[in-house]
Parts: sequence; structure tokens; C-alpha cells
Amino acid sequence: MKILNLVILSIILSAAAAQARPVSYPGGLTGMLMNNGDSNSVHVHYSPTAKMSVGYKGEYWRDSEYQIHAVQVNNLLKRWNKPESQANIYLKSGAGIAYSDFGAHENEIEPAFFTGFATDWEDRRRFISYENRFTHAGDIASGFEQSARVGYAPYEGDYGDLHTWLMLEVKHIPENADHFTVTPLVRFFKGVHLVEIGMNDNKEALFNWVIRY
Amino acid sequence: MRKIILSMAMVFMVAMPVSVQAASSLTYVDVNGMVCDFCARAIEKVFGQQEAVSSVDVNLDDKFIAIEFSEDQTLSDEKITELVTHAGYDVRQIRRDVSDADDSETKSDE
Repeated sequence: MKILNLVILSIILSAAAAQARPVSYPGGLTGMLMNNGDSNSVHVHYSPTAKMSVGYKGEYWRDSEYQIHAVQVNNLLKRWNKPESQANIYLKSGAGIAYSDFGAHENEIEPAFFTGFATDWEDRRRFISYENRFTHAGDIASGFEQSARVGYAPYEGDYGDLHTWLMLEVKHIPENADHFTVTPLVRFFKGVHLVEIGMNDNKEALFNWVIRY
Repeated sequence: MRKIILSMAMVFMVAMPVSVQAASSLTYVDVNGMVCDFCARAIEKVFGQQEAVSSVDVNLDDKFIAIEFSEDQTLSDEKITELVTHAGYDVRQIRRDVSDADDSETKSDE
């Protein structure tokens, strides 16, 4: 029973940062800058419909000193619209190249692929999400990561107000020395901007910025 | 005779703004899944692109949008439902303003 509880807890809490939604409204353009203890990334995508987006994803993984440059496609597989809440399941996949200038892989380029699911549920005051991803980039990098978030909004703002969320993110990367990292963060959301600031238990900063038109 | 003409002119001037107001109308659309500013912005953008729409007001607290149409223009319930669905949300109910008596039907998709 204890193991089952741990599995359930890990499913709830153990996965990747569900950032702002990976699919926008028809014609919507979104830019995301993500910086955390492991990597720096940029993702720019365009949504021709409310069910998919396509764009560029660039990542730099600092410890292993490799980059991924890929075309990423996000699909909204299922959405539940309720009077007071919304839930989503997305498939996020990308294909491109990985480049390394580190150690045995100096100046090496390999094809790179990644795919994973993301799911979230939120109402005006509560938020929960889970995300995972499998990455394969030949000899340069290969692995699985997952993360989860819970969030709480201390107040309900009107449309256009500054919205504030207090969140806790748990990230699990089995290949890392610290398999699990925990990041308390604050999300500010106003107009077309979403900013997240936090620091994990290794005292590494998190800074994310999303802009959506 | 002059008094009669003056009275008719005054009546016409007073009645004029009323008839203009009656030509434009407000429609309220209750929407499922509208929980954040990004959702509200999506709805606003989609309806803002419609020529028939003069303004859109999103109420996140009560999860409805108020659509004001340009003079003598409107969108059918089917079109409103299509626009909301294409934006990624679901229509719960469409409520027509009383000034738009011809289109005062209420629609529910649930």
C-alpha cells in the first residue's frame, strides 16, 4: 500500500513543468524562454488551430554541454471544458539535430528526437500538471525526464489583472546525480506575459517567460 | 403650424438615439473551460476578428462573454458556437439581449 501511495504521489508530483499551454488559439503566436537548473531553452510556436501548434525548439543542457535544435509539434489530444475548470492532454514531439562540444563528443552532430505527454487541470485557484519526455540524440544524449506541479492562486483576479500563483515543481531526471529536485516558484501573469521565478533545493534558479499574441 | 413642426422635430430628435440603440444588440455567451486570461484573450481575439462584432467583454468570474454587434448586424447561434469551439472552448448557453427581439432564442448545447 505504501508503494502504491508512493507511485500515485510520484505520478502526481513527479513531472515536468507544465508551462503555459503548448497550443494557443487559431492564429496565436507564442514565445517561451525557460531557464532552470539543468537547461536553457527557447520555444516559439504558431497555432493554426486550437488543437495543434508547430514551431522551433532550442535547448542547451549545461552539464553535458549539448544543444538540441528541433521542429516541435504539439497536439491537443483531449480537452475537458467544464463550467469551472479545464483539463488537457497534449502530445509534444520534436525532431532535429543535437550538437555537442563536450568531451568525447566534441563537435559531434547527431539526429535528435523527443516525445512526451503533458497533462494539466486547473480552475481559477488550483492547478496541477504532469509532463514527461523521452529524448534520443544518438551518443550525445538519451534519457527520460518527468516533472509535476501543483499550484494555488491566493486570489482571483479579473481579466487583465495581475494574476499570482504559488507553485511547487518536482522534477525527476534519473540520469542526474540528484534524481529529484524540488522547486518552489511564483508565477505572475498579466496581459500577454507570464513570468515564473523560483529556486530549487540545489539553490539553482528558475526563470521562465512566456509571451503570447 | 410652426409649433407642430417644432414638436415633430423634437419628437424625431428624441426618438433617433433610441432607434440607433435598438439596432445594435448585446449577446451573452456562457462558456465552459474559460479559466484564465489566456483563455479570455483567445475568445476576445476570435470574436474581435468578426466584422459584425463591435466589442467583446469577457467576464472570467461568471464565465461569460458579452458581445456587442455593430449596427444592424449579428452572428447566428451556430456561428457563435463555431467560433467558441474553434477557439478551444464549449458554449453552454447563448442569451440574446431583449433589444434584439427577432433573435431572442436561447440555445443550449448541453
